[in-house]
Amino acid sequence: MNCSDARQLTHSWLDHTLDDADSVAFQAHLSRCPDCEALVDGWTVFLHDLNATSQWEEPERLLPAVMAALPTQDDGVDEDSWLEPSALFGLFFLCVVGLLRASGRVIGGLSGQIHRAYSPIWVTVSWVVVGLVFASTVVYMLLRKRVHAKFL
Amino acid sequence: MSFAGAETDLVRRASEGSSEAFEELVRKYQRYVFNLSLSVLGNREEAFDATQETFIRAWRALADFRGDARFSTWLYRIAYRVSLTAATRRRDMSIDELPEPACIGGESDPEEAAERAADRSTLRRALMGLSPPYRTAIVLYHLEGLSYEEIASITGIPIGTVRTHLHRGREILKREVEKLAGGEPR
Repeated sequence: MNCSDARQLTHSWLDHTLDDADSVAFQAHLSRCPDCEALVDGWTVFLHDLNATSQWEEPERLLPAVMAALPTQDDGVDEDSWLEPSALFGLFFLCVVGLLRASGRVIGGLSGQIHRAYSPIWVTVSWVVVGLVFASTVVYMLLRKRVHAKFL
Repeated sequence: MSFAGAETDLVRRASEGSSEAFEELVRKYQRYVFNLSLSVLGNREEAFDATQETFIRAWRALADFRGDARFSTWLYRIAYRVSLTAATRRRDMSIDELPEPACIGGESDPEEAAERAADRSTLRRALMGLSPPYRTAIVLYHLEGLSYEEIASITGIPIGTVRTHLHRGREILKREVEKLAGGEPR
């Protein structure tokens, strides 16, 4: 190992990340090269000072500020809110009643007459739309807690 | 209960909504997070804001913390992202008046203590003059005692780049310290 090689490995040696073979070769070079040895000694002192440098102190007001700023349940999305499930089921109920009326399966108004079916294709399309709205709302509600935690 | 077990318990309680447990975690990690933010931002007020934002985000996301990484690593990742976002909002890094840190003591001779304090002050000024990637690598490795692997995991930078930042940062730092001290190279 020459001086150039040794200097390239100095930091790894100081960090104890050289493998055994390089470490032995590095130390062998130091033992016969006073210049490199002096350089490594200088680095050792410098890193000792750097390691002894303590962290900056945080301001005293930090902890109270953090605790005062923590959101409470009232601030954000209320995970246990009764409002959304109620709205969801209300919407679903209205859709079902509307579709049943449209498809002629329930008695309409006070007249007691039975509404006859509209075109079956529109009934099918309407059911598919209601099903998709319902399914996506349920999926949204199930995932909401996770999404909320992840992005906020 | 072991040290790690006590922390796991604090994290669990905090994730269940205990603000007392979370306060303990803030107390324990605020200095580390503040120093990480300061190393990225180079500005004490902005580091304060970033630290506060970090803990608020951590509180909100604690339910999502599964314990795959250590809590500190998870928290540092949030702190690093928050600080980087703040840094990109404001490109002009300023070295403001940073107060000296708590005295670490150990010198019995007052003259020696004064000399060491002056050395540390020079070192700190030089450190704050480094560009953020070098400063962050040095602060995380030397002041916060993290390994190459942990730094890579927190910053999302490849481990080889972390090593390069650290080694180059030291070279520049040593030159700056020598320049500021006006003395002979060590």
